[in-house]
Amino acid sequence: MSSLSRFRDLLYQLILRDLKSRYKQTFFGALWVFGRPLVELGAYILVFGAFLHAPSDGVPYPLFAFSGVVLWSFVAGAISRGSRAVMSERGLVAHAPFPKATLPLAAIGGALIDSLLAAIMLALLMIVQHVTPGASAWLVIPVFCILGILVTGIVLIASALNVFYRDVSQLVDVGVRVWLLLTPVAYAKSVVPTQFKTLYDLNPLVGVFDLSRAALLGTGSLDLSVLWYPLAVGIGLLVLGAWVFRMTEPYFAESV
Amino acid sequence: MGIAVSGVWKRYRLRSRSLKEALSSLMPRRRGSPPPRPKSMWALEDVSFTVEPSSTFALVGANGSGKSTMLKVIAGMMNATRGSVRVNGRLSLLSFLGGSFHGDLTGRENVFLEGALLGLSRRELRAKLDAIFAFAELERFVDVPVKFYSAGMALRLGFAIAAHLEPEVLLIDEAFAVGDTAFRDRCLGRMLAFKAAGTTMVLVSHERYLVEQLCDTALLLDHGRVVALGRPDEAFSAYERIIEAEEADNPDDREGEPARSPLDIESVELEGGSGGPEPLCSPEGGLVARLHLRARRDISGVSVGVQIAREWHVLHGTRCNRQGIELSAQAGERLTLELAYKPLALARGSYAMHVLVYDHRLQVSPTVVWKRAARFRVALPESEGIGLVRLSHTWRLKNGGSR
Repeated sequence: MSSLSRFRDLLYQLILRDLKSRYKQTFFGALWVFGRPLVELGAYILVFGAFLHAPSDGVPYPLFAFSGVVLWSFVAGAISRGSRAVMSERGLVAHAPFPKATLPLAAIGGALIDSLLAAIMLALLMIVQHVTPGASAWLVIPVFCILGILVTGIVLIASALNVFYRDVSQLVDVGVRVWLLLTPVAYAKSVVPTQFKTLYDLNPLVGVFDLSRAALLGTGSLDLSVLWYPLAVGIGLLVLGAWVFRMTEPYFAESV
Repeated sequence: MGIAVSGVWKRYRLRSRSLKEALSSLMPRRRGSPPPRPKSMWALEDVSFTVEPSSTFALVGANGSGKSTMLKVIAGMMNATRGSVRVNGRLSLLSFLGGSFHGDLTGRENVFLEGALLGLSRRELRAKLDAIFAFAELERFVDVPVKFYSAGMALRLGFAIAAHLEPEVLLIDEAFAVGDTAFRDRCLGRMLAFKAAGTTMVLVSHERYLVEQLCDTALLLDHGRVVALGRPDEAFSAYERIIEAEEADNPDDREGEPARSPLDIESVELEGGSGGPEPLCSPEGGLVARLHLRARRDISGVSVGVQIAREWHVLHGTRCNRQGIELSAQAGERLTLELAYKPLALARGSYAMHVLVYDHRLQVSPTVVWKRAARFRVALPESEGIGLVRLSHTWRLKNGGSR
C-alpha cells in the first residue's frame, strides 16, 4: 500500500472512530451535533440580540448569529481539539510508527463535519425565515477552504509544540476565547469604532466572516479582494505549520 | 530486506520542558541555587549490527537496557542522535497492540482503526475480518464494545490483527508475552510461518526458550551498550553472567521474617564440583549441599527446604520433613543438614540454590527464604539437547534404514 493511501485510510478511520465514539452512551446520541450550536445560538440571541441589540446588518439576528456560529464552531472546534490531538494519543504516539500528522488532521476533519451539520440547520433556518441565498452563495466553499488552511496551519504548530510545552494548549484556549470576541461572530463589524478599524482588520477572520455573510445573506457588498489577506496569512501559517510539524515529529515518541 | 545498524547512539532528555524552564534557562543561574539535575542520558551507545535478509534476530537485555529504543530507532519513530540505520523492505512494528482501541466501540469497529495504524487497507481488513476474529477466538465478541473485553482478550485481538500483516521486515516488542498457553502456541506458530515466508524479524524478548527456538542471532544490550552478539545461547549465557554479577553485589538476599525464624542459616557449602564460589558440576558427579544452621531458640518439629532455580523458574524443591527429618534443638545449638543430588539431572547452565526454613512440618509457606544462598554451574556436552532438565534417554532405530 502506498504511503499516501495509507495516510488517507488512517485519517478516515481516525475521523470515523471520533464520530462513532463521541455520541456512544449518550441519551440523545447524534442529536448533540445539532444541540450544541443551538444552545450557543440561544445564548447569543438572548445576550447580543435581546439585551444588547447588536447590529446585524439588516438581517434577522438569529440568522445573522447562526451564520457566524457555523463558521466559528469550525474554527474553535478544530483548534481546541486539534492542538491536543497528538498529546491525547500519547500511548500510540510513543509506541506505534505511523504518520502523526493524521492525528491533528483528523481532529480538524471532525470539527468540519460538525460545522457542516450545523450548516444544514442554518439552511433550514433560512428557509423558515424566507431568506433566499443569493447567486453568490457558492463563495461559502472558498471561504471554508481559506478557514481550513488557516486553521490547519495553527493546529499543526500548536499540536506539535504542545508535545514539548504543555503551556501551548492553555495558551490556545485563552487565544480562542479572545479571538471569538475579536471576530464578528455575534455582532456586525459596523460596531467597531473607526479608530480601531485598522487594528481590528488585522484579524484575518474579519474579512472571511464578513464576506461569507454578504454572500449568503446579502448583507453588504461582495468584495472578493478581502480574501487575499486571510489567504496569505493562512498559507504562511500552513507552510510554517507543516515545517514545524515535520521537524518535531521525530521527537514526539520520546517526549509525549 | 535486511537491516543495517551502524554506530547508533541515542540520547534521551530526562527533564520535561515547560515554558518556565525554557525561559529560566536563559537567565543566569543564581549563586547558591542547587546545580541542575542530569539533563540527559544515553539510551544507546555505539550499537552496530546487521540483520541478514530472512533471518530472525533477537534483542536481549534487562529492563532499561535500550532494546525498545533500538526497535523504535529501526522503525523510524525516533532519530538516532548519532549513527545510521538502514532498512530494506516494508516494515511493521508490533508493540502496544490494541493501543488504539476505544472502549465504547465494538471489536469490529476497533479492528479497522488498529489495522489502518498497522498499515492494512480497508479492503484487506474487510476480507480478513473473520479470520482475525477466529485467530483471536473472539468470534462471539465481534459486536461487543471493547470495554467489556478482558485485558487478555484485547491483546489477543491486537495480535490477531498484526498476525494478518504481510510485512517484509517485522519488529516485535514482547507483543505476545500475554495470553493463555493455547494462544501463545498460536502466536509462536504464526511467527514460525512469518519466518518460513522469508520475513526478516527482530524481536525483543526475555524468554530464553522462545528466542533459542526462533532466532538465528541475538544481541545482548546492557545499559545501552552491546555486550554480546552471536548465537542466542551465547547471548543468554552472557546475560546470566550480568544478572549474577548484579546479584553478587547483594548477596544476603533474605526474605520473610528473619527475626521470627527458628533457625539461622549460617552458611551453605557445596561439594562435588570444581570448587570455588560457583562450582562446576557434572550430572554424573552429582552435588552435595551442606547447610550449617544454628537454633535461635529451643525448637522442635522445624523443617528446612532447598530449591534449585534458574532465572525465575524453580526447577526442583524439596524439604527435609518429607524424608522424615524434623529438627529439634536447644537455643544456640548448631546443626548440619546434608542434601545429596545424584545424578544431577539438570541441563547445561548456571543455577542458584534457595534455602527455606519452616516453623513446622505442616507449615505451607516458609518463615524465611534465603535466595541464592549458593550457586553452581552444570557442564554438559551439547549433544544432550536443550531445555531445563536432563532426562536420561536413549534413541533406537527400530525399523527401516537398510539403505
